[in-house]
Amino acid sequence: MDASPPAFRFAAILAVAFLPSLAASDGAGLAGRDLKLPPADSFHPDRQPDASGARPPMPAPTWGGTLTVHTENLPRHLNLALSSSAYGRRVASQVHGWLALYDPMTLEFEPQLAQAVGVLDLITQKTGEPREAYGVVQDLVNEWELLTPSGPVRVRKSEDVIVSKGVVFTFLLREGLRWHDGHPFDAEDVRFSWSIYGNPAVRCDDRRWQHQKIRSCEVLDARTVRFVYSEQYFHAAITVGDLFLLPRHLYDPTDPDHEKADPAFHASRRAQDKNWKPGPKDIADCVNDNVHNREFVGLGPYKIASWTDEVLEVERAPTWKDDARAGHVDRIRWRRIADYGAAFRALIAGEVDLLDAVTTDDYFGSIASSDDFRAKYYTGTHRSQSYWYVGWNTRSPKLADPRVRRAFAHLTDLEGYLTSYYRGLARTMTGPFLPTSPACDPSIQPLAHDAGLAESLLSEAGWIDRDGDGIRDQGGVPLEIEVLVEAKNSATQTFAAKFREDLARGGVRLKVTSLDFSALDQRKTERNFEAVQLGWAMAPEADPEQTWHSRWAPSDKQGGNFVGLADPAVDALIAKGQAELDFDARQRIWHQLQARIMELQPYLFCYAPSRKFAMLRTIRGFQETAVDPNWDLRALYFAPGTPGTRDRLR
Amino acid sequence: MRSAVEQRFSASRGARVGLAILAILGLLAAWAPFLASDVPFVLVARDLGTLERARSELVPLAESYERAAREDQAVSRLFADVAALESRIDRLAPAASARDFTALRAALAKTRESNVDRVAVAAELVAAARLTRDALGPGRLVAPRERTFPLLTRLDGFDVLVALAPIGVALALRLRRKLRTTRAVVFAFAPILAVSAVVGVLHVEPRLSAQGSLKRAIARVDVEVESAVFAPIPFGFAETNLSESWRPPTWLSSARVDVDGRSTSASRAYVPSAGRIEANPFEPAIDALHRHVLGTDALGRDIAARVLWGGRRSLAIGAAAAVLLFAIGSVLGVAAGFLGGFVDVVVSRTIEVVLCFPAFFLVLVAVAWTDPDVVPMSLAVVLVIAAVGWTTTARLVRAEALRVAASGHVLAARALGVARVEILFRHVLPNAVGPAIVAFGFAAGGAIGVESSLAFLGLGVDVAFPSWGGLVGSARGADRSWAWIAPGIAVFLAVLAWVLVAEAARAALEPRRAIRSAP
Amino acid sequence: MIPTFLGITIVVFLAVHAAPGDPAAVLEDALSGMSSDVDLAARGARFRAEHLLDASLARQYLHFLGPFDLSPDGHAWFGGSGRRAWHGLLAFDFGDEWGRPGVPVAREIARRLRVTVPLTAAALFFAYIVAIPLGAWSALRDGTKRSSAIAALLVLLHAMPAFWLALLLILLLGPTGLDLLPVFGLASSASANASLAERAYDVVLHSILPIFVLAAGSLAWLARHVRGSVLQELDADYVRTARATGLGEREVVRRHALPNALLPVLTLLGGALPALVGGSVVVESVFGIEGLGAYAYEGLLRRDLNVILATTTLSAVLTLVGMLLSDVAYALVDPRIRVGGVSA
Repeated sequence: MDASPPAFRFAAILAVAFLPSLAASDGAGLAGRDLKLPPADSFHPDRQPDASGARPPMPAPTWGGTLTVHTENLPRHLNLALSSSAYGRRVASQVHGWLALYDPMTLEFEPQLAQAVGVLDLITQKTGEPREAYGVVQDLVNEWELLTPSGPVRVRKSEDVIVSKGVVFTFLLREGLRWHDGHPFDAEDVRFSWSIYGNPAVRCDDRRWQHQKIRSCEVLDARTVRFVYSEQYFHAAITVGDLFLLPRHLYDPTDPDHEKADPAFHASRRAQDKNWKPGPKDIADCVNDNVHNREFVGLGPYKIASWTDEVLEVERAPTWKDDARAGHVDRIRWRRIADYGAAFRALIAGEVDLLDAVTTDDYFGSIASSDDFRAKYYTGTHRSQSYWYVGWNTRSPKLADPRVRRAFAHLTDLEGYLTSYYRGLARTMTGPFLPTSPACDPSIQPLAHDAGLAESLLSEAGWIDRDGDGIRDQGGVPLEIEVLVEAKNSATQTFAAKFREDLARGGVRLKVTSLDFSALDQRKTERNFEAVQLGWAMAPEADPEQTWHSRWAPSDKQGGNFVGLADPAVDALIAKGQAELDFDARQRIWHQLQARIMELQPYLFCYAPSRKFAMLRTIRGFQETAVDPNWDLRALYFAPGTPGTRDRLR
Repeated sequence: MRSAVEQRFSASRGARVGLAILAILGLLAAWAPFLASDVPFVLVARDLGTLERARSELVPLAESYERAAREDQAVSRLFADVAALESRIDRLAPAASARDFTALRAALAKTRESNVDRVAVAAELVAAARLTRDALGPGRLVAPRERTFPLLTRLDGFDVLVALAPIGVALALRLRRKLRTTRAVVFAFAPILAVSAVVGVLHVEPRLSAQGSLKRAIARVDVEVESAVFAPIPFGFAETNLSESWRPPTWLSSARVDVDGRSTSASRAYVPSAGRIEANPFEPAIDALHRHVLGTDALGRDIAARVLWGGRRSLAIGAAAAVLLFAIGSVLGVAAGFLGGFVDVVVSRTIEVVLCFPAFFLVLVAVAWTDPDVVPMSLAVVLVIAAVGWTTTARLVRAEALRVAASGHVLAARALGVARVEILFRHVLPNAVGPAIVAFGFAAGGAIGVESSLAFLGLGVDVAFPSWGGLVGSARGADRSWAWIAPGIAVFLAVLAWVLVAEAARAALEPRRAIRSAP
Repeated sequence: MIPTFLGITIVVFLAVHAAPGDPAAVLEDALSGMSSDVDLAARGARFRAEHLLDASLARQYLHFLGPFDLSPDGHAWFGGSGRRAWHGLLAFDFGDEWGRPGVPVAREIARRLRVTVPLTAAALFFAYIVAIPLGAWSALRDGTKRSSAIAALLVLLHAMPAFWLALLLILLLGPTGLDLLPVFGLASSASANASLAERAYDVVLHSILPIFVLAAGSLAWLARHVRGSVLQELDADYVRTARATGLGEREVVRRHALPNALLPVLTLLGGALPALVGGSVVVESVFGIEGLGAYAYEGLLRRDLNVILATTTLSAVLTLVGMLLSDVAYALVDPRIRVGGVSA
């Protein structure tokens, strides 16, 4: 059975209370899954290691205060079922919760609003009377043994008996959870939250494809709900745990409490038709245009206090009972400032306490190194979940040969650029997985900067300068590549200039075309490009199928595989990995996938830049995590002695 | 009357200063390729890298021929490989003895025969190529000494025209003493145009690998240099050096570094990003005071070189926009003023409508919206500035044309039955020229101002070429004032010069006024 | 005026819609990169339907003009569901910002007009107040050294690019130089809780530099026009006549020459206002002021169609207003003091 969600016997479901991961605040993670997270406050001047290498201890935590955080953008509303923006998710992490999600420190799949998660297998008999049953299925050589509450049942293996492992998820919800308006949270809310994906009038197209893999959802009792997947899927647990929960009494007109909450909705419809009963269209209207999409009612420790175009403020919600994860500060304020230069100025002016988007210029600039600044603030870096790359259109005749793509990688001096441009504040990518992810094999190196090797690869592939103009050619076609770059992004523009020089050394002409994002995206979608410079924001464990499987390669498919990679070995590894439920075994498969993709070079994998932050020195508890935004807001507290703080939660 | 106006004009101090500034800026811009370049005028060197590359390509070319023969490809493809092999042999021959190539030449001769088994011939060719490659192993190749002129061969017809234009202007001014203006100009510029045309036709794009990285090739000893003569500023405008980004002018104390390239200044104003600066051969030493007279930008490019080259774009766009604007405005203004009636009504209405448009906004939108593949950015900027700016000129010229048309001798000519067209050319145009030139001067100044504002905002910028406004825009911030002061001064001077000239022309055109005593 | 206005809206609309690239790709998450588990196609399709991007150009234009909302959720008369009946210029509704859905452009514009209009008006006022006396004085004292110096200074000011002047002033007078004036924004956050008088003083301090830079170009240009105009009037026949009748030079100047000289200067108001509106883009960008110009510029960079349409139309309206004002001013001033003399 898989190690990530804990499995236990049917009868013991109600008896087992699962405790969240006990990872120490020093972030070592569980043995065997070292995410290389630094200790808390690793950049704080008062936490620097002394001569013996030991760090001074953290000050005692306090509670209270208002924390103002910078954000580049605010979500339009908080109903993430309708539109899933990264900014929306960051706010929702404080005012709401999920059934289960990745623990930010260990990437273990942990229940959050659920008390426990049970994973069972499904055994189906197709012929005769189709029957199916849930339970833990064990493989005895000639038969399957199904463990049920009433005892083990043996079923002979045959063609019409199918066992799907790990497709049944049973959630036991925590006791006493209430929505911010006081209404209790129960399993019917969960079932309703899933049912909207089957309603075509609800505007939840972003994630519909994922939730449609779930075959059914059943409410067993007020605190228990069960999901069944139609087939084995390694991402099943996180997808179902990630379901965005909506309060039924505010969103479902068929709920008896809805009329009390929103009488006007029912009244207006009854006025038109006396015998009106709420149907799917009404449910969709209620979900799409609900006032609570903004005046959000959630399940988290904070609730919305005020929301303007520039500032979103949340305060403590009295309905949150769990003191351990209640957050230290009393109010959180997200201040939207789109321009990074203006944001830095706002930090210095005291309008923002924590800025997570300091530009390289500001970070190394004279203001940040001045004594005045250092007396009040400190700066540091943390990992980010995104990386950028140059995607090669493998369908283009010039770029179809992997030797040519490998030659381009050998021509580029990635290490040199890393030192001189990023000043070491980025990591070179060695494949499609972030260096900090367990799926990344640390032993795989980027392709060495070796112009001689590159030239011999190109010559081998038949690209030689036959006409003497300095550009390699073959069959009369010169090796000229057009790379599309986003116009306003100075980092990629700079790299493109350097890239052009590097490739010129090997007799390849690079033409840089600067487009704005919408034009670039259109050409990419139409596959009307030779090379394109873009980035990916990675989920903690992403499904590589959309990006690398040949199924998504044809040009009429819109999706992540716009480079058109179609390699049977890659397809096989992806399929194998998707079906592998054991976490460690799956990572080993991803390592093989990484090696194969590096061999094929469908992208020139560039960098995963670190994010640079600056904040008040009085803010303590900054812990880097493995999940976007890569730091934990609830762990932050003001240092003891800051006015407005106290030494107890209540 | 003309010469009297000219006398007043050339006597005025403003005109002199303005023309002097324009001359200097124009000269610097026209000769920028010779003042700042990363390749030398003259290079006496041995090119080892090319030889080595030629050697290593012998076998792949032969194998490519073999593949093509096996796949039965078109004859032209086969011969492309053969020709390439022959050119490699030609390149290698001076560096080795003739014996080394006999086998290969024989095999190549066979490929030319008809009725041969191509595949067999190809196999022979591959074997011969392998033999030759091994025979020419390390130490066997002795590169001949060559004298090349990289900078000059890089110039195309247009560059030559621009570089010789100042000489043409000076010549024309000289000749004007003896000949009429138009003839003087023609005589002065005809040879220049001829030379430029010849260069343009003969021009060959320089080899890609030799572009921009010559200094690095020298550093790698791919090219062994005996002597080289570089431009006064031995940096190209596009030559990056990321290890030296944002370095203040090297004569300032804040930019001082020691011999290894580590910062020595007490203030933390400049810290080399990688800890040390990498310099290329034939550049001033890292700790030299004159290394980067105006400092470097975000990519380590020399700002002085970029200011010099930026002038080409800014001045050219300013002048081109002014010319276009002036042409449209004058034609329409004269037509309206002189022909009157319906034409006048239409033109005046159009002027009013165009004036109603928020000019700068439309320029912004139009420039931001141009697809650089369809219309080059410079052209777009010129067109847009002309399209919104012609109205002032038109009004001025129209007013003048009206005045002249109503004047005594024109009325007399009309009464005598002289054709309108003749009156137009004989009387109206020559008199309208004066105010038109004034308008042109202001238009040119304004166009440079608008273009630099656009570039400052980041719109209408050609990625490949610097422009003064763009230099200011990419460097703004009090941290790095040295990076934007110089380009800003350049823009200021250019606009000032045009304004001075226009003012002087205007003053020269006015009849003398009685000097009044102060009230 | 109305046909001109409509013509402007059509031209702006067409120019903006001729953009290359698919506007539907400007989506909320463009800033945060592309997430690999979102169905981009479905999201794009929904966006296109909402913003009528697949409808005919004529329909899109009428939707933009208003007052009827023509989107699928729009006015019932045109096939919509009736939830949002009104939209468009004529309904003062410019739609929502594409980059920040949920924020109406009209609200944001109103907020920014409150910043730009006072700044522009103050700059115009300042420019006129300084230019008229300066130009007149320089014309009257024509021939003296001081007036030549003033004329030279005006030429220098006219030639100086606004963005460079702004950066220079920030360098000299800002925190890195003499630190005399604040250089960023229109108010410092410390003053948010202070008294009204202190807040007003703070805003005034912050506005000094931006207003100066805005006014500088217009000032020089106006002063030179005034100077030229006064010089011209002083030479006119009727002035000579007035002198001949025995009026003192001062009286002549004050009663007759100056007022007539100022007439054409008033018509320049029509040109000054659009220049200022355009110039505000640069000034607001450099000083970090959240005004209309900065809004237009950001919208342009982001390819935010709604913002661009709204700001361009608005600046066209402001231009028309400026011309109207100058025509009205001219008409008001003209009949009362016309003594004689020829106008061009």
